[in-house]
Amino acid sequence: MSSEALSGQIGMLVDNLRKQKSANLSLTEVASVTEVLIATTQMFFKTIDTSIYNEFRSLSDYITNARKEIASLQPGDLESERIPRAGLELDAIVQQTEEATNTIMNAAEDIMAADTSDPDAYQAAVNDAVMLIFEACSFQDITGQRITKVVETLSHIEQRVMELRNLLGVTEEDIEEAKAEADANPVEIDEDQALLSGPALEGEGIDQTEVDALMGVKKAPNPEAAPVEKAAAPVASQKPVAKAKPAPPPAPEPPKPVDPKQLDNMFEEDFDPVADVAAEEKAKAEEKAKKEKAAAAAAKEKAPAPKEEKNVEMPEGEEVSQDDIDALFG
Amino acid sequence: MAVDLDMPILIVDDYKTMLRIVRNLLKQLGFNNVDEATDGAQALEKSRARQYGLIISDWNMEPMTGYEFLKEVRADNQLKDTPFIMVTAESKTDNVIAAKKAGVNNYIVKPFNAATLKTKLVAVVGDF
Repeated sequence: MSSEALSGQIGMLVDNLRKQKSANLSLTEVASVTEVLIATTQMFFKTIDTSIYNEFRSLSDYITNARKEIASLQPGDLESERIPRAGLELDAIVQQTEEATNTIMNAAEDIMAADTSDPDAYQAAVNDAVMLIFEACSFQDITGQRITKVVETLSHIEQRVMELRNLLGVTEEDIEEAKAEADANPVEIDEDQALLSGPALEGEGIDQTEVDALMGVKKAPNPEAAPVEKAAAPVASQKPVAKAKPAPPPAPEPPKPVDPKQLDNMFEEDFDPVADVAAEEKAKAEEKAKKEKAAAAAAKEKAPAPKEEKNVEMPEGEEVSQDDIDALFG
Repeated sequence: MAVDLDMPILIVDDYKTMLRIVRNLLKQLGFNNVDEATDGAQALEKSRARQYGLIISDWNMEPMTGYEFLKEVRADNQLKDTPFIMVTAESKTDNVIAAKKAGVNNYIVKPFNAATLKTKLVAVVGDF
């Protein structure tokens, strides 16, 4: 019985009593009216109890199911295993690429510093350096495998988030609503931070020509300038300005006329005239260091064993070193 | 007995860069007769078509891994005696033991250097 029906029922009884003169009411009449009243309210409260109980029961079942399903998503596995592992893989990638780059640059410097007066010795020095470069390039394989693992972790997280979304009954409308709300109240980001989009993917960002166009630089009239411009492209072109894609045309009212050559020079590596002197001195010092390094490299040549150990060490967890493997193979 | 530097060698890796590295290291060591495959299935096909003096294979490849390839090689009467070196980043004890049980002749952990490669080659095919 609904609350409206109850109040209607009671109202009828009261009207009934009012129609009769209360002074003439017998005890039996009052008792019967009271009985009707009690029966009616009992029915009402019984209905209320059942509906509330059912509501709570269904809520309890929902929470129990949600707990079970969230547990089956194994969030602990993500937190304790996969995410930390992915972090370690990324750290290792940074470290290995850095080591490989250093090895390659050292080898290249050794080649540049090699003494050409003795062709045989020169050939040997170049061969050794080239071998080091080949070895160092194997980082690509290793980092590729590490990145694959990180991507797998991200896919795993994505899948779990989708499952959680479905579990909680989040609809596309909810998402749109949340998105609109977020758009309406954007989080304030530091302007400098907003410029840091990181390296662009292929097809993203703008190339050097577009950068030059934005900067108002005409194409370098000097043919010698071209290689410099090209060389600068991979560094300067893409990344930080990636978000500047809807490039507006250059400002219609340039405050000062700019000499294109001067601007081109600003983007050349050796723009700083003061740095030139310092660079010359640095180059001399480096040349000296290279010679010493070449001598050291020649000495190293006779002792390759320690190098081997250094390159193959993988001591973490269950991983075994090349030495352990060698022992296994006798 | 000295190794014939002209013996055909099959190198298997799904990373082209790695194939190039191993090929160049072998070249530096004097081996010029080198074939390439990019997964176990292709390697198996090639090794059935030509008799190689040595197989150097990665482990982690699709669709057929180097481990499966190794087992196929050892199960094949014509190929079972081909020296097989596993060169892989899989450096857990379980991997090494499994490979050894499957009949691998030696196992090199990536990253490796020319000296390591040479040592293993000598251990497997003899001095050169």
